[in-house]
Amino acid sequence: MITTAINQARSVTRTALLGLRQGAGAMSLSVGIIALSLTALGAFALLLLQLSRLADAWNREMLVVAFLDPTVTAELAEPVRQRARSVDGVLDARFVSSHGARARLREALGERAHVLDGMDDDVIPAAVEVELLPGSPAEQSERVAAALKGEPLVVEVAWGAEELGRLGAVLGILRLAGGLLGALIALVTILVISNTLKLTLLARRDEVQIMVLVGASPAFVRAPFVIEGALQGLSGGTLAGGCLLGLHSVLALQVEQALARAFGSVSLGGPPLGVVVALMGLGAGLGILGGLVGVTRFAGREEA
Amino acid sequence: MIELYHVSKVYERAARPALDDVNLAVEKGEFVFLTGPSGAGKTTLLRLLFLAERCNRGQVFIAGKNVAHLADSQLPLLRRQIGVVFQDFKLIDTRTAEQNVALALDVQGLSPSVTRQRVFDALKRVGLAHKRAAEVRRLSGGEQQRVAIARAIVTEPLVLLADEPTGNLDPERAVDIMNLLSDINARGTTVVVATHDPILLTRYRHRIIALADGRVHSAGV
Ligand SMILES: Nc1ncnc2c1ncn2[C@@H]1O[C@H](COP(=O)(O)OP(=O)(O)OP(=O)(O)O)[C@@H](O)[C@H]1O
Ligand SMILES: [Mg+2]
Repeated sequence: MITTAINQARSVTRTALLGLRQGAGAMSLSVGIIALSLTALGAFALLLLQLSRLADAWNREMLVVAFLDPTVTAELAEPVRQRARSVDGVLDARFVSSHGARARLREALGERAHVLDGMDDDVIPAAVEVELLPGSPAEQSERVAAALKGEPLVVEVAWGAEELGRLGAVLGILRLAGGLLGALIALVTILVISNTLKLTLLARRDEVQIMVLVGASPAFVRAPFVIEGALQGLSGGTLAGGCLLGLHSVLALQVEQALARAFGSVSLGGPPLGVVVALMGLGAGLGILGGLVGVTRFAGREEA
Repeated sequence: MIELYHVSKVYERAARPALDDVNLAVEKGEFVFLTGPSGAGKTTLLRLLFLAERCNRGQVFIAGKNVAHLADSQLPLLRRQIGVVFQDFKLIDTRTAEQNVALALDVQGLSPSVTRQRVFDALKRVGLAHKRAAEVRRLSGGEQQRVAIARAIVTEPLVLLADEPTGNLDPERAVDIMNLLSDINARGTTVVVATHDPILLTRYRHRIIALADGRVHSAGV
């Protein structure tokens, strides 16, 4: 039983490879189209992935900062700090003096720190930084901010919700667009592959008919087409992965800069190997679906 | 081996039935000619036997099994027990003689070594062992005919059906093919040959079933 299946698999594979060689022209076209669509999808997924990661990072270090007059000392700020800590969902609250904030800024600016040189010490406000529990919802920052605004020493309260909201909205739209794009590209891929295979099936109609007449089961007849579909999809996905790696190496820097302008510092990270592997898998999966769709109409009872 | 009871077949959009209330029986190990003028229904009858076509009415038994209402999923198994030599050969011209004959075993999942041996034996029986690696399109009509026979017998079928197996051949080649079919029959395979060649019918003294307008005209003795 098992050896029968292995022997059949062997001849099915042989037929599939023979078919690939015969239909090389139509198939390279379909592989090209698939590669192009999957590259677009991959680039989009990559962008989405990075933005989500960014949003997560922001979410994780959600800070509410209550700015105080630069002259305020730690003792004077203590009531504000206590008030902040009394709010639910607050992990910690720290006082940062004007001097401390300046030192931190100087460090953050690195070699460009000289811009601070002419600046008076008391320009930079002191602050109480409130850290929320990780994963707190955006409204939580708002609640903390409202509590702190009532404190007499507090000049202004800033929190990330606004920016986060902006990024969140963009992400929402991008996710929706990504979903639609993904669905569209999956459909295109299945259609392209199934149509290529329908043409192949047409070209090999006589051969298929002969196989049926000498006692081939429908699965035996269909399997080579499904294998051909899978190989086409896999080739398309692999090509797309290569394109994506190429694009990444060429464009990553520009994209990083553009994103940085909109959302602050962003890193796209190293080569997107995970996305490449996903594209290959997706290509192969869609290829199998395309193969199944392409030969579905063939019922196994060919006329002689 | 083969029994038909009240079998009728009407093709779609056809004015009259291709087969009309046909009753006949072929014994195990018999050699039978199926004859009749063009359009009498010979090909249709053969096609009903390997279920390339289904009858509208009646029962068809092969090896004691009623195949008239066989499920589609059972067709491959039935066809593996019936060797068919088609009037137009139905070979894949871009493949070699060997590959064409092997196809009948490949679909059954036989091991490559068993397949190679049996394909070689079948081609040897039809006298084509030396041409086994030649592409079918480079073979003559008579050689292609013999490849088709090799493919039909390589599975050692219970029944061999041959539709005009000498149709396009000169008389000498026709004799070779008939001797080959007789040899296959002598080894126990039931053989049904459709032909309207009167020379074959008189020269080989096998039972003759004559069809006319889709009816059995005479079933011989
Ligand atoms: N696929 C088909 N669709 C409709 N009618 C058909 C079909 N095949 C055959 N027929 C008709 O059925 C009748 C019997 O045809 P069949 O091919 O069985 O005859 P035959 O005895 O094999 O003839 P020949 O000696 O010319 O091969 C004919 O009238 C033919 O026109
Ligand atoms: Mg005929």
